[in-house]
Amino acid sequence: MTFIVTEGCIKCKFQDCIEVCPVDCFYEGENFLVIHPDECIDCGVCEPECPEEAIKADTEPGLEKWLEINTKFADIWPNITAKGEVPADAQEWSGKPDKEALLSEKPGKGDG
Amino acid sequence: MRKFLDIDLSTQTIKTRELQGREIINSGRRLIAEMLLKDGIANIDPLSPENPLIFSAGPFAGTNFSNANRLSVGCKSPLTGGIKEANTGGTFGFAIGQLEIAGFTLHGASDKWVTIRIPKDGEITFEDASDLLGLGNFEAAEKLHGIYGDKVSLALCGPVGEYGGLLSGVAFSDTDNRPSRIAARGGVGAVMGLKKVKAIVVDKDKMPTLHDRKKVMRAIKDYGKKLGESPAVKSLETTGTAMVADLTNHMGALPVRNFSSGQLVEPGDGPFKMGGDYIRERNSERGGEISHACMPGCLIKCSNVYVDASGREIVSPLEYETIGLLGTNCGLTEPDDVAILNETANDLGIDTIEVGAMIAMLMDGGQAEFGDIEFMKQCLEDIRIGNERGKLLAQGTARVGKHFNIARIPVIKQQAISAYDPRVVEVTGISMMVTAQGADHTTGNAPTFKCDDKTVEVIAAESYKMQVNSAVADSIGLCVFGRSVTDGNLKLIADAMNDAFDLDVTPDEVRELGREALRLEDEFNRAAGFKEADDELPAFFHSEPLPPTNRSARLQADEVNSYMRRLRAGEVEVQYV
Repeated sequence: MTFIVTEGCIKCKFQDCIEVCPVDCFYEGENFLVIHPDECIDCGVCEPECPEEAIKADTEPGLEKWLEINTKFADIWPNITAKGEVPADAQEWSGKPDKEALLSEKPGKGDG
Repeated sequence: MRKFLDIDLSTQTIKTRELQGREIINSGRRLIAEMLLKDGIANIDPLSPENPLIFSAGPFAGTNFSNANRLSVGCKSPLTGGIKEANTGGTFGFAIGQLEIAGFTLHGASDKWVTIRIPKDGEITFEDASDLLGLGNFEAAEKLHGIYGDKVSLALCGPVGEYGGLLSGVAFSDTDNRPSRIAARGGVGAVMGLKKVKAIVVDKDKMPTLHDRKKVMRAIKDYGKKLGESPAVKSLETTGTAMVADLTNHMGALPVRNFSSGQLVEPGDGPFKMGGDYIRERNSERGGEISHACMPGCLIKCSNVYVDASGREIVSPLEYETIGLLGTNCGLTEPDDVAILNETANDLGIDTIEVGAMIAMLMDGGQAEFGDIEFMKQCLEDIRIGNERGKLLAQGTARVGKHFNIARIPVIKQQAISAYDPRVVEVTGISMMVTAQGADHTTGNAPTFKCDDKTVEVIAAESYKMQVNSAVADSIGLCVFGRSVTDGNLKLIADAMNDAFDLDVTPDEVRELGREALRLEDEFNRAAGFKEADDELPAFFHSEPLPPTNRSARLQADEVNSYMRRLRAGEVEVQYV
C-alpha cells in the first residue's frame, strides 16, 4: 500500500503535505504533486493535512489511474522537501471538479 | 496542548486534566508506576473495580516519529500480584495522540458491558456492547469498523478477558486494522473485562500540535536517517524478530520442550524451519509481506504478514516469542503450525508466551506428547469457550502447574519466562529475575552478550544497563528496537521533546525517567509484599544442565540483588551506551 496524490491537487498545490512527510517522498510538477509509491512508508500523516482531500490510500477503489500517474512522474519530476510558494490562484481552483485535463506534465522547481 | 482523562465507569463521567510542561513527557512505564503508587493500589485486590486500568502513550504519539507510537497499559497485575505495564505497538497510541490525549485511566467498573467511543469532535460516549460479547477479536473488530468506519483505532477485550482469564491481554488495531497488536502480559485483559469494557473506539485525526513542528520534523528525518544506517535495524527489517530463533538455537538458549533443551536443530543438521531466515524465504516465496510496520511512521518494520502455501494470510505478525513459547517449547517444528495457533491466540486476545509455556508444561506433565498440535488446539478451544477446563487453563502457567502438581513450572513471580533460557542468556535471565514486572525479557534483553566467561557481577551490570535503557524507551513511547540508535542519541530525543513542547529537558533527565521507573516499580512491589526470594529462578534451572551447552543456572537472587542494589544506588558507574 502507498498513499497517492489525486485530482484535487491540480492547480491548488497547497503543499501542507510536504511539511509532515518524514521521508521526503513528494515530487513536484508544475501544477501538481505526486508521491513516490516506493518511498512512501504509509504513515498516513499527510492525508488529513491536504485541504483538498487529494491524498488517498491506493487501496481505495478506482484509483489505479492515479497510482500510475504518481509512479510515472515521481521518476521524472524533482523532489520537494519543504513547502514552497502556493500558486496565486490556488483558492480559485479549490474544490473544483474535473481538473484532470489541466494536469501539466512539466516539472516543477523542486528543492531536493 | 495535551490532556489526560480520568474515566469513571460507574458514573460514566470524565474528568479532563490539561498537562503542563514536563507533565507531557511523564508517560508510559514511569507514569503508570507513579500513579499506582500515589493511589495506593499495591494492596488492593487486582480483580476488583478499585484496580485502575491506565492507557498511556508517549510524547510523540500521533506523529510519524519512527517507532515512537508505543502504548503502555498498566494496572496491578492479577497474574503476578505486582505492578504491570504491558506494552504494545499498533495505531491506538497514534490515534489518541492525534486527539491530543496523552492517556486515560479507567476507574471503577461499569454496570453493563460498554464500548467507549472517543470521537475527534464531540463528547465521549458509552455505547451498549452486549452484541459484541463472546466474539473473537476479529469478528468484534469487523462489527465495530462496520459502525465507525476505517479511520478509527480499536482497543478490545477478547472473550477470555471477558471471563477474567489471567492470560488475557488487550488487543489493538495494527496499521491495516487487524486487532492483532496485543498488550499481552500480566492479565491486563482480565482487568478490562472486570470493568465490563469490551471495546474502546478512537478516531484518528491529524498530526497533533507541536511547539515547533518544523524542528520536530527535522528531528524525525534525522532519526530516520540514523535508523537507515543501523545494521541492527536493517536486520530487523529484513528478517524480523524471528531471526532471534536462529541465534538462540545456535547458542543453545531456545526454549524447547518445556525448557528441557536449548536447541531444536543442530546447526548444519538440516534446515532450521523455525528460524528467521527460513521463515522469511518461505513467506517471500508464497507472496507474504516480510516487512511490515505495526505503527504508523515506523521505519524499522520488523513485523510481517505470514501466508500459507496458497498465499492466504494466516497471521500477522509471526514473531520470535511466539515461535519460541508456542512453537519449539511445545515441540512444534513447522512455522505454519505456530502461525495457525498464533492467529487463534490473537482472536482470543491472549498472551502467546503465557499460553505456550502453560501448554508445554502440561505436555511435560504427561497430558500430551510434545508436538501434539491437536491437543494445543483443544486447549485453545477450551479457553475460548470458557468451560471448566478452559477457565482453569486461562489462569496461566503458575496456577495451572500448581493445580496439576507439575514439577517443572517455568515462571518468575507467577509469570511465564520468555524465550531466552536463563541458563545461557544470563543478562536477560537477571532482568527477568529482578524486574518487578514478573518474568519479562523486554525489561532488559541482551541475547548476544557473551556470558559464559563473565562474572555474575559483570552480567548484572549489563542487565542493569539494559533495564534502564528499556525503561526509558517504555516511558516515552519508544519501541526498544530503535535502541541501536536511541540509546546513544538521547540528545536527539531530548531536543525533539524540547522542540515539541517548549521544554528544556537534558539527555540525562531522559535517562533518569528510566531509572525512576525502575525505582518506583520496585517500591510498588515491596508495598505489595514481594520479597527477594520472589526473584529466584525455578529450581529446575539450577538442578538440570541444559543440552547442548550443559549449563545450569548460577544466578541466585541474593547475589544478583546485592549487585543490583549497588547499581541502582549509583555506587557503580554504568556505561549506558
